[in-house]
Amino acid sequence: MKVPERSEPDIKWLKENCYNDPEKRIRLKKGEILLSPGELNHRLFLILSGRLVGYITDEQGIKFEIFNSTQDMFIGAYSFFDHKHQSYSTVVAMEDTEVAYLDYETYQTMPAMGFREHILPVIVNEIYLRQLSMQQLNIERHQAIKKLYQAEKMATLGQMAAGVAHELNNAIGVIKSNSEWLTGLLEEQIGKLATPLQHDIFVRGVEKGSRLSTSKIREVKKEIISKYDVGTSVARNLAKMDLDEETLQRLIKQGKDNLAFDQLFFEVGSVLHDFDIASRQAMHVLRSVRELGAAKQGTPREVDLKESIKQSLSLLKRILENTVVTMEVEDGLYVVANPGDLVQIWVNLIKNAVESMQADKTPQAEVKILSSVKKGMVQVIISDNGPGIPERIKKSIFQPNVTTKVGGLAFGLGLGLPIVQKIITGYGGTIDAQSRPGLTEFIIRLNVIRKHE
Amino acid sequence: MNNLYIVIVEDQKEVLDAVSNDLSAFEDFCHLEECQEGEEAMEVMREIDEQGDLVAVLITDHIMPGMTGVELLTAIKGEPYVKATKKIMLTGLATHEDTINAINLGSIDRYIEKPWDKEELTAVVRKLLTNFILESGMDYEQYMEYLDKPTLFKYLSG
Repeated sequence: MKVPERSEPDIKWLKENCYNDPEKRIRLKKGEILLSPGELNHRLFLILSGRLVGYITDEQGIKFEIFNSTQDMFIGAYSFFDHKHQSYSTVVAMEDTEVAYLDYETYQTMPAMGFREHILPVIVNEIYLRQLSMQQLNIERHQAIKKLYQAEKMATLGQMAAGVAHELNNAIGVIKSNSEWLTGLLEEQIGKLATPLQHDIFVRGVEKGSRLSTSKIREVKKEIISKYDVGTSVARNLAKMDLDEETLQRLIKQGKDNLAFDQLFFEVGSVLHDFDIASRQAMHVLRSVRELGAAKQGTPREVDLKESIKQSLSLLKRILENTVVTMEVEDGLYVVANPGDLVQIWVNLIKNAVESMQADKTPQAEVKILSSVKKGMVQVIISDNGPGIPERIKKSIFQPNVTTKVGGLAFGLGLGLPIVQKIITGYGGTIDAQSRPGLTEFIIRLNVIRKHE
Repeated sequence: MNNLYIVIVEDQKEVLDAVSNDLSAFEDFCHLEECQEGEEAMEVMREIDEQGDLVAVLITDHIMPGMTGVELLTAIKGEPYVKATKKIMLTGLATHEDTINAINLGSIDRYIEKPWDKEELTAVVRKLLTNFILESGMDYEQYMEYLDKPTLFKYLSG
């Protein structure tokens, strides 16, 4: 909010002519009360040094600050000029304070013009300042309410999510362990009862699944049809297996009339593979969801910042294959936190960066992690040269349910950044983002301890 | 003779495999083509057309990287190679607006929600295949055993 330029009222005259009586001074210790609501007041106070705060208290005992005044400011104007002479607020010294005062009797005997002419700008100024502070208060309150709504939303979502996650977790657990059991059992039995080739094919399916792209499969299928005497659907299934030429030949030769049956071993294997992938993904999603609602686990301790980032990078090794990672983080920086929390922060942010670049097919994809220390806080910047955060979600990236990730099992839940933010603010830190195409930066600030070896 | 094709578009490999496993019964008289992207599907369908074959049914997911399902359907609308093709949208994450667009812009014949039921999916595909064959004026008798009987009956008696 823009505040117009304002001229300070001249109180020199008032000081010299109305507040010059050394008898009419009061010293207040910190915490001492100058006025209480309802109290009769016939004095107009001028603060010589220190600070006074005025507040009113509502029925629930909550205090609302009305003014916060320092040297050369006046107190008690309302009760002084009002015909009832009653104070409406509590005025208390925030520090040792000295005030001078003018009493009503003296005021009445004073030549009218001099005083009024000088006090009027002072009073207007006081009113102006109070109005300003009220406005400020209003803005702050508005922001606080907004934050509260957000926090409440997160808490409700968290609780609900944790409940759902718990239920689903049991169901997924059953699917996961049963499919593992079934895989083991089948592998053993196929090893005993089927041909070695069939067993190989089964294991291949379990381990790799069908991972070729559909266009590659189409290409290999056409090749198989041109070379061997097989139908299109058999050829497609053979293509999916991604076999080397020799194994393929062997299979077609041995299989002959039985090829469709042989293929089943691969299909069953790759279905089990997909079970495994899907249940892992589901469990991962559920874990993220539960983090939202779960209370903190483990006790915070001093964690080596660089080490925690390195740990995260090693967890992400697989998806970082085509990305250049530059890390310039000072040694000897420690953050008091739960080590898992820190890793979760870095993993989430780095993963977001890499996934956005993969989806965008950014050439020369790069992630940079830089640190700097200022005023007891470490600032970690994680940046990427990807497509940037879409304009339409820029404002809401830290809110739940906002995601750019569509398609594939790795679809976004839109919970990553809210969780990251929750963790960081939980440690008294902050996280901000800046983004334009070609440069996206997440700036994290955390309290830090510097230890020099 | 015109070969019949069912084209499936789904970016998620595991789901794609599951759909085509469920539809494998149709391979007795139809070819299945699997695609992971809209652009790829358009190319595949053009090729099918160039071979002199027919895309009888197109099944597409909606939310995919690159082209969405609705975008794909809108893009191929009016193309000669899919003139008579029956279109199914198979999706789990579509919004209300997406659904409306799929119907209005993409002119889909059926909308199936994920997770799908195998019986329902195969029944829908069978019905649409039957309609396609009957409407295209092909010799349906060669496919008799695979066709949806109520649809066929209605056609013959109507």
